[in-house]
Amino acid sequence: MLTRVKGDPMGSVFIFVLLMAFWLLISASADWQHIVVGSIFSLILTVFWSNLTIAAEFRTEFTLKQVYLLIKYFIALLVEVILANITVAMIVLNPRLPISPGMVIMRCDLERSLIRVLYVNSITLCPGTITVELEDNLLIVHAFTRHYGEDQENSAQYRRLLELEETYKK
Amino acid sequence: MILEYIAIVFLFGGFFFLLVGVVGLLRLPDVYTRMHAMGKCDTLGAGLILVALMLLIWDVTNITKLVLILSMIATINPIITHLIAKTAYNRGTPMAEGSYLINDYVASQRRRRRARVEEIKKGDENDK
Repeated sequence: MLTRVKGDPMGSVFIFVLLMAFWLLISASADWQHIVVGSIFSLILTVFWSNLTIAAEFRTEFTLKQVYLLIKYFIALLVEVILANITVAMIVLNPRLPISPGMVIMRCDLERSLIRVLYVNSITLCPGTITVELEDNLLIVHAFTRHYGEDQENSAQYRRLLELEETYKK
Repeated sequence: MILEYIAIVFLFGGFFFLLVGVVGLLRLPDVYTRMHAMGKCDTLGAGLILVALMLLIWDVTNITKLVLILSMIATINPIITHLIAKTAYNRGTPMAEGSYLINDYVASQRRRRRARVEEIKKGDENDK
């Protein structure tokens, strides 16, 4: 995925600014000694990494719509995580332990690897399901109760990620 | 002052969810269901405790480090859960009694194909 090129001035500046911002957040002082030390180390790292870029066939266009969809996705994920924990707490602390566990085998049509990782992680954090296996387009999920195992294919997270992948394909 | 009370609420929320995770680990019957309890409750429990620490410390450098730790916990925890479940599944660890298996793969393929055929038909009608 990564290739080495001769040197990319815009990329180097971007990496340097990123490292410098991180340094300033960590050190949190405008002392000249701090800034000099930070810029020296940022420069060394920039020289090391500036000739690494993404190969041409993996490049995609960056749009604001992707950022909007990602932010929407993460806010939804936060709500799902809290709901998942409350359901687990209610099931575990219930004296009758009302579980009906089982495996669900289903399809996953996402293709980009980053979005697949996001999908798998969001399944694990969503209420009542954890991912067991993802091979090509075969997805095996373990469900906590039967209610969560059914109709997993039409989940809101999956639809959001499909929508996000659509924006990459152009 | 009010910040500290909010932090206390977050802190006890985190303790509660970690406790639920441990109780689940002790009560639930097999590996997979235990991973449900541990994977989810650890993420939110540790996350809430870190948020409470952020509110208590309230300092840019330490908040940056805590945000880094929080993002790492939120990404690594589900991956470890997935790896343990995957290894258990591939080694053939038995599930608890009364577990079921839904194979939705073929059915969903058919459903998808039917939906695509209907889409094409609708497109043809629109063309006419």
